[in-house]
Amino acid sequence: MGQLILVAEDQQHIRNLIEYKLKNSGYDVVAVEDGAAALEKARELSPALIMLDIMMPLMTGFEVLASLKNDPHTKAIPVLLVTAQSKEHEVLRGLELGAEDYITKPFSPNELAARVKKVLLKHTAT
Amino acid sequence: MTAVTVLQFLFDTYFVFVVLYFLIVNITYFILLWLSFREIVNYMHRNLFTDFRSVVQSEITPPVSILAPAYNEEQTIVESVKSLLKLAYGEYEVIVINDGSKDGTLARMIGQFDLFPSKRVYVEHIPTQAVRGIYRSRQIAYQNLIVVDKENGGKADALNVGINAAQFAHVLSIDADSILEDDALQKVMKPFLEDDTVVAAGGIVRIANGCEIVNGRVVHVGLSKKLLPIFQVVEYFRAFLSGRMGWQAVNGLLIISGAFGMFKRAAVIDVGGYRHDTVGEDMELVVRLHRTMRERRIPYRVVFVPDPVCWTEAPESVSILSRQRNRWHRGLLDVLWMHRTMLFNEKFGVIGSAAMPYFLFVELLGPVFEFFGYVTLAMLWWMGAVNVPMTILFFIVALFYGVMFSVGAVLLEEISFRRYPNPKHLALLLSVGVLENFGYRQLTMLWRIKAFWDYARGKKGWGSMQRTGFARPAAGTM
Amino acid sequence: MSLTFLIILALTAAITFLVVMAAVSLVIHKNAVARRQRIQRRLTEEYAVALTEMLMTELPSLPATAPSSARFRQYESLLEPIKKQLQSLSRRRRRIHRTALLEVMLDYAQDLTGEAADRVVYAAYSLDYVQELIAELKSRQWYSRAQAARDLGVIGAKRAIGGLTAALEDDHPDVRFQAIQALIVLVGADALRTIFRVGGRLSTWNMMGLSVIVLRFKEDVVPHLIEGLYAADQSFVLFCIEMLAEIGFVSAVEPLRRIATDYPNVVVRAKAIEALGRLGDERAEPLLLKNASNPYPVMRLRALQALRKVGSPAALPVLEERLREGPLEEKIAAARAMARTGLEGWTVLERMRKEEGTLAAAAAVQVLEELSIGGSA
Repeated sequence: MGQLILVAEDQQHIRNLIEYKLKNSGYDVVAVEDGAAALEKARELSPALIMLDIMMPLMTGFEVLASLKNDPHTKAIPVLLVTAQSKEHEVLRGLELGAEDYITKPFSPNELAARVKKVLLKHTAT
Repeated sequence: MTAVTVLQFLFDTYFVFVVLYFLIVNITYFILLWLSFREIVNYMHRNLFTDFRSVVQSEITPPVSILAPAYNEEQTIVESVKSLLKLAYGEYEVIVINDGSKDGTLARMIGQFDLFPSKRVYVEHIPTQAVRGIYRSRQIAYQNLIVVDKENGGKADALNVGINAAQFAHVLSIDADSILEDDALQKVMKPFLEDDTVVAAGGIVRIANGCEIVNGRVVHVGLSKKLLPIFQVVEYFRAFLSGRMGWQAVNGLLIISGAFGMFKRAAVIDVGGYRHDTVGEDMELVVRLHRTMRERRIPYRVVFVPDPVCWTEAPESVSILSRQRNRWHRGLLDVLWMHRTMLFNEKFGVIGSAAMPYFLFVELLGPVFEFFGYVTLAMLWWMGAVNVPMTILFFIVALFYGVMFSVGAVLLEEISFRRYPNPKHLALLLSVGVLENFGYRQLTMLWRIKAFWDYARGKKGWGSMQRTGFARPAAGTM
Repeated sequence: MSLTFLIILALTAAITFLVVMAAVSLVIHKNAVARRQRIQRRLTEEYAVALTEMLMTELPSLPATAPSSARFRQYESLLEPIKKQLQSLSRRRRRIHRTALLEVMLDYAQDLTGEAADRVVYAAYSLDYVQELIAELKSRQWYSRAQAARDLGVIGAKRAIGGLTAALEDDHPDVRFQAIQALIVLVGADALRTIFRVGGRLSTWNMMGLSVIVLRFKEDVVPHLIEGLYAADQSFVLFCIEMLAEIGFVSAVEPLRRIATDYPNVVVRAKAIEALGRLGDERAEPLLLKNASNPYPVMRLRALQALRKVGSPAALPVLEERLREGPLEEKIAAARAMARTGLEGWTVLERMRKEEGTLAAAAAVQVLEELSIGGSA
């Protein structure tokens, strides 16, 4: 039984791919397609890590992130942001809001898995 | 030759004339529909490869001046201006021209936008009524707002003042009550930026009755519960999607709605701006642009943007609608009369040989011919000379044609922009395309015929100087 | 008489019949399209699963010295199931399936990099998509050509560079622009060299689109832009001037000065003058002053506007002359340039405002008002 990762990503194919990759790497994955669902699942399941796309319908990644960090139950969950390429201000804003790390699209699935692993290691260690 | 044979001969000639006219008109419609179809398919393809976001992101997007004339619009002006200031575009200014309103239009704006009398230089490139003052805002949020206060002079005069005051090379004329789509400016600027020779671009005007409007934006497209606006929806489709789109394919577009039209400022100043002695000022300007450019042999284009960019509230009462149609028809008559030398004049190319004759024989005289048709029929009936099966057949064919072009226009919408997602609405529009031939069509015919009478009596104004801001889809309605 | 009428009637009836048929077939067509879309969606799902597997399956690692063909053989074995399935279909259905598969591949290609992206590219080659799309670049329909150019860029097929370079000279502006974008995606900023050399007829609209892309590269593109100042096509020269002004790199001053003096076309020279102003480099001032009394109105106006950024008190005599003698736009531009020189310019403007009734005074008043509210116009 691996650690649980929540993936919020609106593009279906990429969501499936991320899910597949993370499952292959030995995690349990729950994937949702919009911000509101992400928030709900985060509260319900308290996953070990949340992967958050910035550009999502209903609630943007930033809004979800802010709500997560305001809620004592979800505050400690590390968040990995997924942003579009060359959006420096998005990255900065995300890190400021308390995201653990970020990854830019287009991304390499192997790198993604490595980052997830690193973030999780760091958090289980502390 | 006896009197009977003479009469017989006259009838026969008349009959041949009617059938020929009928045939030619319908062939013309058919060609227009076909041209529109091709243009719209091409336009939709091009939209697939167009990234409209870059207009907003780019630093080099050319700025635009929006001209919004206002007359006694105290109730709505602040909201209208606020929504105009929120369009998705690079740099632009909004110039509101207060055309000597008798109510508190100006005071409202001064209060709401924190305006002060500015000493900005104003040069009268086009002669107009006196300008009383130019106002700008002290607040950074409203830096792009300019309010010009002037003596009353009608819509054309107000627009001329706006053109004089505009700083930028492209000016957009709108009605203060036009509801613009967020991306209206991007859509209508594109042709100018793709082709230097474009001097004017018209946008499609759609009917807002029955749509849900929040903060000056159409958020949900619907149809009115009343029948009269729905008739107009179909009429506008026919006029814009199959009429104007077809004409623009051959650079023969003669009308750009007063409710939404972008112009090259220099070209408009060059031809002397809007004329204020006609009720058809929007059409007149476009015709004059065509005329001047062709006379000077300068390559130019007048284009039409079929993307929905602008919404307007259509009249819901018969009396207002009849006045509107009466005014449009007088305008059409006036413009054709002013520029009668262009008619059948091969110097003006497609304008002289096709567009002007079309507007004369089909749009202007169409109702007259139709009326005479009904009268003759009644007379023949009375004389007992009607060939009943023939007549019925003729009416059925005529009806089929009418329906065909309405249905064609609705289908054009369906294959392109699909702003009416509800299949019920689509079915309603299609059935209205049939229904309008029984009553509505005859009604508009009568209003338009009355326009000749009013014109002859010299009634030229807007009807007691009252400026209703309604768009004119104008001609292109059968 | 009645015979002619009958003939005409028969004709019209025939047309009407045709139209009714057309309407009916349109409805049928609409249904068929909807059905095809449903099938397409289902297929897309199916291939998304298959392709995910192909992209994500862990492969036994190869020694670093192994030739790339060894890796390709591994990829090929992963593709086997997809290929088999495609081969088992009839020609017509295969085409539908291939369209669905391409859609999924494009989706993945857009968002993936690294080894996974290599696999997508390999699949595109191995399944003959690249070849097919390169052939499409010569299609008769412009939108097929544009679509092919765009897809090739997204997939990242380097073999398409030749075809895309040829497409830079396509007759349709949208194809040219898609080719430009695709080449930049494939090659990066260096593609601009080829684009400036081969491409042509860039509309203002496309310049706006290209500017967004080019500015992302920041300083990296400056050398290419400077080289682009000598592009054969004037629209690209204008574009490069504009971008150099926007990026604001000092090394652009000299080349721009040369363009502003030597370029044969006055529109381009005026653009270079404007750019020099935006760069705000003092070295440009003498040239700007000289052009403030150029015989071409557009040159004068641009020079005056540029002086607003770099003008010093030394410019005041020329500016005052223009404020008095020039047409309104020049007056205002001159007054604004004066305002920037500080107290000296301000004194001149105050003096001018007293000459009431003249247009020069009105211009001075407007500019002084702009100063007082801190806004600019």
